[in-house]
Amino acid sequence: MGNDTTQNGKLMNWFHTTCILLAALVCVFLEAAVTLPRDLFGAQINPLPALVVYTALQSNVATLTLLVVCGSLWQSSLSADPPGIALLPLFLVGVFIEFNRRQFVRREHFVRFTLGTAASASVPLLTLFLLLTIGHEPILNWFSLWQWLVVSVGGGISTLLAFLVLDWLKIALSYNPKKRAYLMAPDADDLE
Amino acid sequence: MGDMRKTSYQIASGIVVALALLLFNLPPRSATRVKGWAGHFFLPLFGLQKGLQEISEKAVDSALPRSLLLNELSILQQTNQMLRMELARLDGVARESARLKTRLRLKPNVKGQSRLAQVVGRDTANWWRTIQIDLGERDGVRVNHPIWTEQGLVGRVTQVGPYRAQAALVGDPSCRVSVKVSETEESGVLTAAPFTAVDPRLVSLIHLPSDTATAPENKVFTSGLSEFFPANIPVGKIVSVNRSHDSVQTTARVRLSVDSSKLQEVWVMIQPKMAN
Repeated sequence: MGNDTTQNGKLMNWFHTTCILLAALVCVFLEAAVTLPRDLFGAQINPLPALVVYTALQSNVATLTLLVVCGSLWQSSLSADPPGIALLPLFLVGVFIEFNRRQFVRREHFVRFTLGTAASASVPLLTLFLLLTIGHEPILNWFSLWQWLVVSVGGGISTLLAFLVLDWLKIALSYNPKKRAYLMAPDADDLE
Repeated sequence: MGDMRKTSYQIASGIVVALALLLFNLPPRSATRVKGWAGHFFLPLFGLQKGLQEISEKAVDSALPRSLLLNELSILQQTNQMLRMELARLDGVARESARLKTRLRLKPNVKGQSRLAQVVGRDTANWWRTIQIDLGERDGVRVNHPIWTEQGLVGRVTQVGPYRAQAALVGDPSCRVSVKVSETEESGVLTAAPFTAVDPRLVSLIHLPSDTATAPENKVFTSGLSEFFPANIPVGKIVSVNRSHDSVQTTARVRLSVDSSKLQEVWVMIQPKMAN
């Protein structure tokens, strides 16, 4: 019985990881294919920081690493960026949140929004720093500050959406044994 | 448990740092290959996008009245006939021009065949200006092939995959275009400027002579001096000229004739010389 539960748990973890990676693939594709935010606000919203925040709060380091590696490679394949340029920025942000995740009241929407906004604000800054360091010349001027603002706030909203969709998927497609129904601690997985 | 967590952090950090160092130090050709390999994951999604687009186009076509389609067909047939006559006339001019160029030992014009491509995506980063098109290596597209529309020059192909290609738009730092001002015959180079981030149709024209006669509203065409872009493709109009007494060159602002934010279809000029 105990063995079955462990196997189900492992399977569930892999299923959750696959869901997050698929979400990253679809979101990066939509980032390239859907131009509505760019047409309306003059900037495209990056979905990866939002997914990194979700993964850092709801999953483990292995999934986070897979997400940042695959996500950054996929994103750069549809851009003029060098391959994997966002790898380090995404990982740094993700590890920081994962390391301190007990400090955050992760069920609060405001906390999720704030973390998403902060992550979405940090990732482009770190990416630009890396781009300029390795000798690229991206198009930047004062308007880039507006784009940065749009990307940050859009990232915060995307984080709320990521929690909504991925948590729903996790609950809808997972097997919940009755014996866990009495648990009161929302973050039971973290009890070490 | 705490040790296990610490170990997992160390392993993950080691993998990410090693991978990042490897990726940053890749030679350009390998970097393109890595991007091409990562881009293969999007094939089903781009296929789905194309399928949905075809279904919606068919739905719109089937909803249109037959009389309207027949009327449009008749107009298109007439236009086709007129264009064929014009082409036959220009063919004679082209032969004459080629003969004169041979006598003067000038570089002959490269004859290319254009293919229509759909714009299927845009750059995911806000600091570059590139598009993804649905033609690739299998359709004869190669790096540096020019891209244009009936309004003017759009850019050039920078990366090619089997089914898809990436093109840098005029105004991206990787797409510098040698141009001439039609009224003054002065040459310069079109390049990105900081204001391109605000208005993607505004770019900078550099290397104009210090005593330039170029003025606002002058038309700008490709000069043909570049090995990538054929001559006389419309590019845009001069908006303003910034003269500086201290400098040996003048710069100007150019408004591009193509609004790349509204692009849905483009023509790729497949040049046989490059394809080989």
